[in-house]
Amino acid sequence: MSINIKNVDYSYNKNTQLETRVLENINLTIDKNEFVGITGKIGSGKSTLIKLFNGLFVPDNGYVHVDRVDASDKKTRKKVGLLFQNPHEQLFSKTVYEEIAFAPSNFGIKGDDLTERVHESLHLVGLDSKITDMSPFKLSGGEMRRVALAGVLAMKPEYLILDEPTSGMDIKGKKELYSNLKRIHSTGACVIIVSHQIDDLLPVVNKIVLMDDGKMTFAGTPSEYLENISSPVPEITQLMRGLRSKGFNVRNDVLTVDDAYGQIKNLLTKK
Amino acid sequence: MIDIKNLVYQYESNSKYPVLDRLNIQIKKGEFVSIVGENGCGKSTLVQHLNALLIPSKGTVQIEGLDTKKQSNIWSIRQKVGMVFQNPQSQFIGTTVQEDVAFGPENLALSNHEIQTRVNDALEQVGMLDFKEYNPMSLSGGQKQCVAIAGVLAMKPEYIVLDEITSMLDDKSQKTISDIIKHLQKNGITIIYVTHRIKDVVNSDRIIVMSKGRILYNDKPQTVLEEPSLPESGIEIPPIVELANRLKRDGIIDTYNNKNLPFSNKELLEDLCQSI
Ligand SMILES: Nc1ncnc2c1ncn2[C@@H]1O[C@H](COP(=O)(O)OP(=O)(O)OP(=O)(O)O)[C@@H](O)[C@H]1O
Ligand SMILES: Nc1ncnc2c1ncn2[C@@H]1O[C@H](COP(=O)(O)OP(=O)(O)OP(=O)(O)O)[C@@H](O)[C@H]1O
Ligand SMILES: [Mg+2]
Ligand SMILES: [Mg+2]
Repeated sequence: MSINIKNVDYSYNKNTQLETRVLENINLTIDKNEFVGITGKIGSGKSTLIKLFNGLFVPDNGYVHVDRVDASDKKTRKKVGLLFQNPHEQLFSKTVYEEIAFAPSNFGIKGDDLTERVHESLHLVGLDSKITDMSPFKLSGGEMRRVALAGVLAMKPEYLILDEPTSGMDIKGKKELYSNLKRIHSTGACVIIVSHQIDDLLPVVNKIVLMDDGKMTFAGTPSEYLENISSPVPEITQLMRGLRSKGFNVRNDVLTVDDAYGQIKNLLTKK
Repeated sequence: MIDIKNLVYQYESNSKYPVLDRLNIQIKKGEFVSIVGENGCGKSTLVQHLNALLIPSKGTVQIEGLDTKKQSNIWSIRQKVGMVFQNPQSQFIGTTVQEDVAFGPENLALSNHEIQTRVNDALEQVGMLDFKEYNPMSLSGGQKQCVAIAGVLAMKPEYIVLDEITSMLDDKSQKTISDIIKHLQKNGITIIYVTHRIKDVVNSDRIIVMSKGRILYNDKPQTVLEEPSLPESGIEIPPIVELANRLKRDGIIDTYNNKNLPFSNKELLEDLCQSI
């Protein structure tokens, strides 16, 4: 069980003067049991790439398979849940309830089961059940993103793909989201997150994918990433690397405040 | 200066309670004020009062003495106060990036030449000049944010309100934006900056922390970031500040340059090299 991306190219505005290739020769395998982070500069092709995973876009060359079936096949669409980068791309319903109930009701869930699914999803994203009758467009930016997220979680997809899910979210929401994602991953779903916040990704994922100008320039474990990539890395890592370059004996893969604090304390006791 | 007195705001469709509850805020000309707080606490609602997009249910908002309630003031207020929205998508008007950025200046009765210069300068500043001919809707998330920022820069307003503009930017463009802000600050432009990333605001003159439509703190970053109860108010303390806090408590680093705490990577590194 996996997503297989083989020799994929993708261009926007095909066969027009504006044709621009934004993905070039991408090869990547994501196993069902993985927790993957995708990062890279703005405009590097991250959002385009993940839209190939649920068949929204079809590659010009090569293929994208989900569990050995083409990603654009109807059967696979049910398996892959995608949160768009911009909640306005996602949201369309008149009420929060309808928005979240949309996917599960399409999958045949009805009645109390449906209501329960909606409330469970709202709870997962830290929203009050009181807002079910509100318009999703009359919410704050962070609340809107949470509703969009609840809509995707309500699908209970086997492959959960989230494009910048924490942008505009407060710290509490972000922490809750990551702990929920860890739990969802542990129940057997594959989780793929696109984010600029490498600080958030490195401690939780088992694979990091780095995009640069339409090409995949790195894919590997967080420790391989820290060994090979100088930027982007978390601020704490940068600080410790700075100390290291000044000749202090600290590690170059420090990720957390606790770890950094320990290493600095260590330097002092040795002195 | 901006003078907010007893501001109360209640959305019509949300009649149960006011979203802003008797706020009093003064912002001096040239200040860089950041506004933080948990989702739904009222930040966007507050800043939309600054260019008269929203009008107080009670209380007053005055921009250099101009009351936003007065219809006849709105044109001058919007010329003074430029705003980049939380969701740039809702802001795009033109079919190309350059048309879009030109839209603001075109309303200011400038010469065509001046408009062109401003559009090019603004796009250059945010690193989007190469995308001039693109349709703004077909840009990536971060690129859209950069274009929206260029749109406001091209208007050269005296007050700039930025609502969560860096939420989708990479390190490089965040750096570009923070350099732009420093430059604006130097030129006496007032900046009101809404964000969840405290890291972005350590250079501001003042941080306003909001909670449920009220003000929790309104003080210098040094003071606010050392507030022991800050984490409970849902505010993220940047890892560098957290580390510095702990090292300072242990007496490992001293105070530095009159600042209570080193806020940036570079500052902390310098402090550490001196102390170890
Ligand atoms: N609908 C579209 N039509 C034409 N070009 C597009 C379209 N969407 C994106 N692009 C271009 O394709 C490139 C990759 O965009 P994409 O949205 O995949 O980037 P990204 O890595 O997700 O960036 P960000 O971090 O800013 O969201 C960009 O240069 C962008 O301008
Ligand atoms: N158009 C609207 N109609 C009714 N209620 C609204 C509307 N916009 C926002 N609200 C409500 O007002 C409150 C404050 O919203 P606001 O957008 O000001 O929050 P915010 O601090 O900007 O949050 P975020 O960090 O999520 O952007 C929220 O409870 C929200 O649900
Ligand atoms: Mg994107
Ligand atoms: Mg907001």
